[in-house]
Amino acid sequence: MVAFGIDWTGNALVHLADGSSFVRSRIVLHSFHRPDLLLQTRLGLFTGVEDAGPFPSQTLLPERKGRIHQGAVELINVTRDLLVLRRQFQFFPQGALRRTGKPTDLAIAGTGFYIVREPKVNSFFATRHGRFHFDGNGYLVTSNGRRVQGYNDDALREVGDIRLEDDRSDSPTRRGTARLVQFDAEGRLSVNQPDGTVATRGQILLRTFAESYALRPAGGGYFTNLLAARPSAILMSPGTRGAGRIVAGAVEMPGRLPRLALPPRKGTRLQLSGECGTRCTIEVLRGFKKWKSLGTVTLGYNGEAELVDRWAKDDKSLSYRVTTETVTVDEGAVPFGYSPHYGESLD
Amino acid sequence: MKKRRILRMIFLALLVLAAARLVHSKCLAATRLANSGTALAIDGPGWFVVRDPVYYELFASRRGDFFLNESGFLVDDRGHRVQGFLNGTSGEVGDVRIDSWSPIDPNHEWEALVGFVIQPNGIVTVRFGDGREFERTQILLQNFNMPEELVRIGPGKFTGLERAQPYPNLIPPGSHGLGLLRTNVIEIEEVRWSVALTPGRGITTAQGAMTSTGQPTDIAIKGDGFFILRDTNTSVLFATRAGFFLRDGDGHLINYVGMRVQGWTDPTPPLSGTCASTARADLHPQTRMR
Repeated sequence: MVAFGIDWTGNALVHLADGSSFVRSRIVLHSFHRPDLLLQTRLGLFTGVEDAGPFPSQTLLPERKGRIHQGAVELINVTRDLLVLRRQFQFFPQGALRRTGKPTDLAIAGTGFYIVREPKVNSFFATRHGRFHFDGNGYLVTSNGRRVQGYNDDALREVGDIRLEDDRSDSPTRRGTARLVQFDAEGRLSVNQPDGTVATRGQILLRTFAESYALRPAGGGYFTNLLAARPSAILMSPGTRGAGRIVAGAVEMPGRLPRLALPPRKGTRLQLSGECGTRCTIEVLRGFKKWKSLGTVTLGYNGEAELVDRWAKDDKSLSYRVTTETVTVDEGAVPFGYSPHYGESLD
Repeated sequence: MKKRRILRMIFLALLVLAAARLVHSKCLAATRLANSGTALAIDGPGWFVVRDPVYYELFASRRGDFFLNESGFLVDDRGHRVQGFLNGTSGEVGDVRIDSWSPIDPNHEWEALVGFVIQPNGIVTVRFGDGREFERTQILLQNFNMPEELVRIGPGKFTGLERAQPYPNLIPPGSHGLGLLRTNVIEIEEVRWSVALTPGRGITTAQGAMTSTGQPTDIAIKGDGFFILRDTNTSVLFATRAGFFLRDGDGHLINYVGMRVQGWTDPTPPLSGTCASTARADLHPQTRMR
């Protein structure tokens, strides 16, 4: 699979490398007879699905009632906690490529990541930031000295730090013997030999992550938490399995996602459920002021109530609390003993 | 001087002990009267275990709003049966039943059952018209190492027992640190509340403006309808129009807490006519997006 998409009817399409695509599955939507029975919980989710309408009979195909829009969201239905949670995930949209002409500037046109190694602590990072250079020891490194991983031998068999050894006559780091170095679209590192021939000295390998959103930023465009992000089993040659190709002499500009902000809304609706012994008092704390009563409600067994804080503003710090006045029963308030059939007490 | 210091330390120690006792005595949450001998509250830690007789699923409950059904089973308002010893105060564990069956003489035809008592340790003593009594059954409790993993499905009732790491066996009330039972009272569940940042009553179903996010797994609905998501731990379904989704490593379309978007895995669903009957199967909780 190269990519997937969702069309306006909810069909989940799988696009293959040969240009073909097929429908893998389909989203269905659902409407409710009694949407008022839905109870909003956190993250924009509603519970009470089974109660709010005959579940199967109200299933809709998207084209019957509306359209599915991929790559878009309806912000009016997004809650603040969902937006906060979204900030914990990393998204890697393909950024624009800017040509620099430097042969060791390498951009990835695809979804793969370079794997670089911090030699001091032997820890690995993923990055899409391809501004590399050869250091004094001949290693292909990032701007802060982390070594790029790939095949580091002529036969392209050994995986490790990519290096052009200094003792070789064609080393670009050897004083006075700088040679033309170039990377091709598959990440192969080629060096011009003194006799005019071209020799392959290694190959950059990429890794894809099935759950790249789980990567954690480590600063400077590097990411950790590689295992949790479900990495591909092996390092892959660029151009295979959707990893993307290498564009030498170019850097990828950071892909920008639109900044999402909730539309300003005034008024907060509090939904309560449960049970009060006698009554519940709902209080609000605005900023650093004192707790102030919003009102009281009475809830019976499995009761529900709703209260609107009309003065709440979306962008202000708000806290709510519910205090319950309850009744505690004295021991022996009711005769101990019970008859299953005749209502006779044993006492 | 030294004596006074020692006395002060003893006094402080006694104060701490008294405070600890006070805290411990508040194990039972707020209760309300329930004029029924089968209404039970646990005065301390522990959970009732009830079983769905149709699907054999077990639930944990703190709400002892039980009654006897026509078959003599002690059940909650959903008909789920309280668990305990099947017969007497030892042996096999199963649905608690309060009837005239005698462990002493199972073949003996007893006179009509005239009453029973549920003791604080859960033992149910039944009495017959001829004055004879015996211990018919014992209600047992459960406790969990990770009760925070339980998932609420109704007032005081929870599922996800395995995930909450239950003790290996059900335990009689009053032992292993569990509370004793109190009859005629029901523990009141705390009020839960949630906040919706939308003014007015009811939920927002009006079409909002579409905002491009640039993320291919974000999906918006233009028109009516909700996405349905399934909590994979509990199989509870949720509805949402907030289409922030991700694609996990197995190919499922999930929301930010791992709930799976529901749909047809069959790519050619019926396009007309029989949508309702087919949807039942396709929207089964096992159905998933790949």
